[in-house]
Amino acid sequence: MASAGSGDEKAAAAAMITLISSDNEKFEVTEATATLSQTIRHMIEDGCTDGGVPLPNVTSKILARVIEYCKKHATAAAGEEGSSSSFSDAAFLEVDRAFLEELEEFDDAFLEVDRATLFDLILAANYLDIKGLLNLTCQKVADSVKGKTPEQIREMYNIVNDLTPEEEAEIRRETQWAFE
Amino acid sequence: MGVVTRAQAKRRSSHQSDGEEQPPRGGRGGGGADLISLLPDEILGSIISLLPTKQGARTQILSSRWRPLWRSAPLNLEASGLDRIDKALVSRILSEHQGIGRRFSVSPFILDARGDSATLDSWLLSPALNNLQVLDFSFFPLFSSIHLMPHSALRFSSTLRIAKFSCCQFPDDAGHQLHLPNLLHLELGSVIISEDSLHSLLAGCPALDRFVLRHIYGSSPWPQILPSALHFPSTLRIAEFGCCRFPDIVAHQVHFPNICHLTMKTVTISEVSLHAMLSSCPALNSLMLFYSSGFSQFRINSLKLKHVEMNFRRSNADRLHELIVENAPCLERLYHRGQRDEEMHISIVSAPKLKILGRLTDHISRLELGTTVFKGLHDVRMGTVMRSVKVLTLSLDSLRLDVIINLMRCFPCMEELYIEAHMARKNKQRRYSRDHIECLDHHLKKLEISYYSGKKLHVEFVKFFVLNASVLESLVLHVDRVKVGSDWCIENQRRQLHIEKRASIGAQIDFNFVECFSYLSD
Repeated sequence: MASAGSGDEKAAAAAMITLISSDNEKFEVTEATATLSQTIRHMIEDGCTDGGVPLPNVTSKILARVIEYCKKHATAAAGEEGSSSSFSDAAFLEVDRAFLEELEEFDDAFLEVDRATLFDLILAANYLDIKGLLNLTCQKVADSVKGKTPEQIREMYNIVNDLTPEEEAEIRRETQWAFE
Repeated sequence: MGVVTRAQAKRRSSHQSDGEEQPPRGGRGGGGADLISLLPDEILGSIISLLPTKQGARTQILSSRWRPLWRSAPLNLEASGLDRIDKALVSRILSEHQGIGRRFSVSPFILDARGDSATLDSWLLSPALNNLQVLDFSFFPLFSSIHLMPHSALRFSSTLRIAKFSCCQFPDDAGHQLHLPNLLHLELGSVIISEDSLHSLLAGCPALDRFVLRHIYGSSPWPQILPSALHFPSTLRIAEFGCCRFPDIVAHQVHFPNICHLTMKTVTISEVSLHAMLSSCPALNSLMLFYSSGFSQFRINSLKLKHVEMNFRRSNADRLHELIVENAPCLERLYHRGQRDEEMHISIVSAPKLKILGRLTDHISRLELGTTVFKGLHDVRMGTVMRSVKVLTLSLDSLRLDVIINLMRCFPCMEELYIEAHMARKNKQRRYSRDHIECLDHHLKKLEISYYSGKKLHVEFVKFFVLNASVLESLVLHVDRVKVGSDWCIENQRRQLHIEKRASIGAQIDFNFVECFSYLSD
């Protein structure tokens, strides 16, 4: 843990980045946290982060949650890097494993949000290109419909069936194996 | 005012873009808005590709918005064979799919004919599988001729994250060009592969996290594992070997710095190699040894090991006879399950964090816990007490209170006790004093007894706990309905056990009827 923390501190000493939400709220984060987003990583590499990074597609409410996710996972990434480098001390790995378990718990708790927030998180993860967060949130949606009939899914997500009976019959004919 | 600051301007423009680009937010809390359909195609495609194959395809019928998505989403095709997905259908799905691939899994019940190597090849060449991340196939195992694994299986090397190949022959000329930078999980099941190819394959997986090498369960002797199978990248954390003979290794010759889970199932491994493996894995967290043989003594010296589980069948003379935990500062769970008639010697010298201990039997010839020595479970010379142990499991031929009381004195903080009482053998009940058994007065919360007969000896045994375990929360008695007969009556049992006079008023007492105990599931 100490090592993971010191990795984070090193990054913090190196650089801070200001992220600006669509409602103009400013968030200061370490570069290690911000670069979990490939979009922001590219901006940093191109040297266009001075004066803050405007994120017109992300509200402050969602950005705060995204940053919460990135902070947690950036610390984890620092830990992983440490373990694969020269510091492969067994004592360190032990901490690393405990941390991974804690990370899973964090993810589970993180996903306890209403549906609208979940979709906003998906959109933000997609826009900011944060793979882990995108996978996590898409998996959550997939899990929510797993085992449900089309009718149940429509009801669950308020999907209006605008297909004509003929179109429906055509789909069933084309992919008959899926409806058996 | 007249002056608009940059921040205000930005705020205005961001509000605009917010309104234009995020219509979903308008529906928030509106109860009825179809928010999911507003997600971009790419994201809905990802979600569809995370669904089981049939369910993914069924999303076409949700609405006109969803209709075209499945065909262009990354394909997740699991041809399980058990569900009327046949070869022709696999070919058709692949030829009609317009997107790339995510996962392709083919069971041996589909690849069951002589020419199926070519069938698989044609599937793997399909553009619908481009960028595949998960590839899992197995030819039918009981086939006389071995199928050659098609070269096309290696065309996804840059994107594959999980690869499982079974019952085939790895192409000899392919290993050298292999580079699988993203492969995390590699499983080879009964794959015939040359020493060279295996070496190159493993060397080409710099990110490998999990490696499984096993052979199908067939007649012994098991195939010998190639020495190169141990040349996996140092990133590896999980290793599993099954149905094979482990190569001879010597400590310090190999080093697996990151392995934390090691499983050996039906493996023959020499005593020297087993100890060398243990000392080569300094980060080992859990060790599972199932039905493995070739070593009669196992000494555990490991700074990180937390869980050890061993399961033995009655087998040849080369089974384990002596288990010694010499130094295991992190060990929390030690579970040894052998045949009940085996004579075992177990010694725990130093395991200060040991919490769960099982399964002790009355066939143990000698059990040493520090300076405490049991010669058989009934004859004890008390010394060390292990306050760390919270859970104990026992398999006993005779339920003897003096034995249990000794164990409770040895493990004074025990909270859960599980006993398999195999036979209600008549035994001499001695006088025992129940005064000051810390475990009974303060700790024992849960007692479970399997094969409870309800006969006098068992009743007397359980009654002791009913009347004396002051903090008991749960008592569960598993009863074999076939054995006890139809006249067995719970009310009668409750009366005989003096349940109304129980020491712990809050204790829940349950009888659980089981039709037939499965000795195999042991």
